[in-house]
Amino acid sequence: MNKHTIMLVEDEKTICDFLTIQLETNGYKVISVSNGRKAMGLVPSHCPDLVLLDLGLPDLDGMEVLAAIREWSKLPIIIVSARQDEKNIVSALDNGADDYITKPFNNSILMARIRSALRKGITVKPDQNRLIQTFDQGRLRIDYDRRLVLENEKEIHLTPVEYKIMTILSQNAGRVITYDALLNELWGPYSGDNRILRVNMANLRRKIELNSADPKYILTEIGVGYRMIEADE
Amino acid sequence: MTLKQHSLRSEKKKHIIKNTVISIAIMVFGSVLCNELYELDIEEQNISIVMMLTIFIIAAAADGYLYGLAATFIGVLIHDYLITEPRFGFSYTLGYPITLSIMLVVSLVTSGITGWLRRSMKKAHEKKRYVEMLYEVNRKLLSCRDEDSIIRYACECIWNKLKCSVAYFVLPGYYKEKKLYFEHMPGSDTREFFEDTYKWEMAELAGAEQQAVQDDVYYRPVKVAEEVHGVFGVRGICGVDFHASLFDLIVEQASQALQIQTLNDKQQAIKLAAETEKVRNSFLRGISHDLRTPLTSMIGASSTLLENGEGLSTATQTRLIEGIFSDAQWLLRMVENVLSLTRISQNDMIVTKNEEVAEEIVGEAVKLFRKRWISTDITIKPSENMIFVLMDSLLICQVIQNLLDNAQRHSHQANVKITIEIYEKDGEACFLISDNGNGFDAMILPLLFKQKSFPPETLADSSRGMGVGMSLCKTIIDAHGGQINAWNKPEGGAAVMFTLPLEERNKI
Repeated sequence: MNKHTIMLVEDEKTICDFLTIQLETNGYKVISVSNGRKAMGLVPSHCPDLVLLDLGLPDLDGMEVLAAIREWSKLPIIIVSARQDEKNIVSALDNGADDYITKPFNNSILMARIRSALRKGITVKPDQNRLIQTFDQGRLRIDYDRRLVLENEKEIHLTPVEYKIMTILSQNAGRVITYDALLNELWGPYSGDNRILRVNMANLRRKIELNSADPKYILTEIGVGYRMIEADE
Repeated sequence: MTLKQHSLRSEKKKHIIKNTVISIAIMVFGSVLCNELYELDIEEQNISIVMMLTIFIIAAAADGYLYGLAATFIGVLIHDYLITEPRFGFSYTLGYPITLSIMLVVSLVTSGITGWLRRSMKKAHEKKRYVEMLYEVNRKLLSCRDEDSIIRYACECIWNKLKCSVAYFVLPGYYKEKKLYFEHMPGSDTREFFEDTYKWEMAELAGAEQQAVQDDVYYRPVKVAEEVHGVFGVRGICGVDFHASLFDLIVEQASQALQIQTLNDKQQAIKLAAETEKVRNSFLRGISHDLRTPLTSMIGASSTLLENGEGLSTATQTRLIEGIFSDAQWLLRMVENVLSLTRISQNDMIVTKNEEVAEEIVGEAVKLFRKRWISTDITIKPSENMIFVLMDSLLICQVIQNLLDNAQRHSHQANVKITIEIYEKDGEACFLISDNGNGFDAMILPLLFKQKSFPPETLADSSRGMGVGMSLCKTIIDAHGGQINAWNKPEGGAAVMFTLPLEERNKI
């Protein structure tokens, strides 16, 4: 099998070192770059399958690198950020980043994020018509054809909005979807607060989760959005 | 206004009737007495004296010259009619005008003297009332705890005492916004009257100590620390008893109270700054100690591995590496705690709050916690309805994680069971975290949230993180306007509860 190439844009040498080892042991080919300009120059020539982008770079802001790549390419980009500032993360996601992870991170979680981002990169390309018919996750099952959500083989009655939330999140399972993205999708350009989404989410969780405060399917990313877990997480 | 005039008039009427009745009664009594005396053959000079006494009494008792004068005329006539020969007829003797004028002088002088006495008594009484009132106003103004209540109370006073619509224009300044206070008769148009831009301009002029153009508002500026704070204005059409001097005095007292308040505030700020500095220093001391311990073991373990790694068995190597890993995790928590402090604004301890769903935050905190403690048994009992709470989500997440960490580390139990309950009670969101461990040490419990008073020996001895983590929780909850409490459950185990205030509209 052809190895996936991952470009690692990171200026801290120690982090770069252990990430390289970690990625290589997991079967990826790694190109590490220490600054933004180099990364922007090397992406077109090396065509990596995925970019791990640090936001705090010595020469440029990671956001600029993100914008520059997004001008011409849809390749998956995962933001690695030391800033626990949710605003930066949200703006990166709304500007085209596929996912994010904050430092310090758990290696296995990073690997899971990389896998789901890569999968999205592949499935998007071929035939759009052959959409997946069902979504299976533990006891939860979504039948897109019949517009049904089943928990332990029992049908759950969802409102149209709740069903739509389920489909959006499940079709992007493993990836975080920002509040704004969801609001836009569900209610169109919506200028109000995200209260309406929160209320719908709370109701939805009461229907599909065993314990709405301890969710197993739809996780909250505080201040950012929601993420539906993926099979291998 | 007409009502007031009306009541004034009727009062005057009453006054006249009362005086007239008294005068007539005395006169009748005097006349009867004179008649009786005459019947008893008392000499005429003596009877004249009795009549004179009657007139004197009337002049003294009745309020006003008129009664005295009338009594004089009537008294002289009655005397002439009853006593002087011929009886029951007028004599018109030569001495008549002389008697009359003497009587008149007596009555006038008497009325004058009593009138003067009465007036000065009234004045003294009024002065006393005035002083008492000012004292009361002053006392209340000084007991006010903030600027707002001082101004409100001053306005209320002016309205109560002077019956004038009053406004206070807070002039925009370095640290304050333009603002308007007023007190007025209910239902009148005073609000609109004072909110007029022209009135503001006039107030600003008065504040600059320039004579305002003739206006129907009487302005007085208030100075605090050499600077004009604002301007009091009373609406011109005031009752008869408007005392400009009383108004000025109340204004003067209000400005003194404001001055004192400003000074107090400044002192308070200085005190607070010193206190903050102290807390910060002890926090830094505590944290440096707490940071040094895991670093020591990390450096030790890694250098052991570097120097004699090959000589060690794989099991030992793994144990050392696990130690480094767990210490690093712990260090990370510490650093996150320190970082979260920077999210709380240093001086006013205020956090930026957003609306969050309580159960989402708890769920997230537990998810993060489970990344470090995979096997811990945590049960979350969500509230029946979803609760929206205004909070800084990262900070509250931090608090929950710290409390979970404490439960995990200090319960001294092989398999800890932690329960988190979320519920709404009395307008507050309550978060109750309890475990099945050994509970808090009775020595530490009362000191749990008072990091600055942590005895040094317990700090040095204690399992790390104890002091800083809990006091950080307290700081965060305080900054949210909530409360945090800890106790030992009767059935064993520790419990910590914190509450966050809910806003009315946040309930669903």
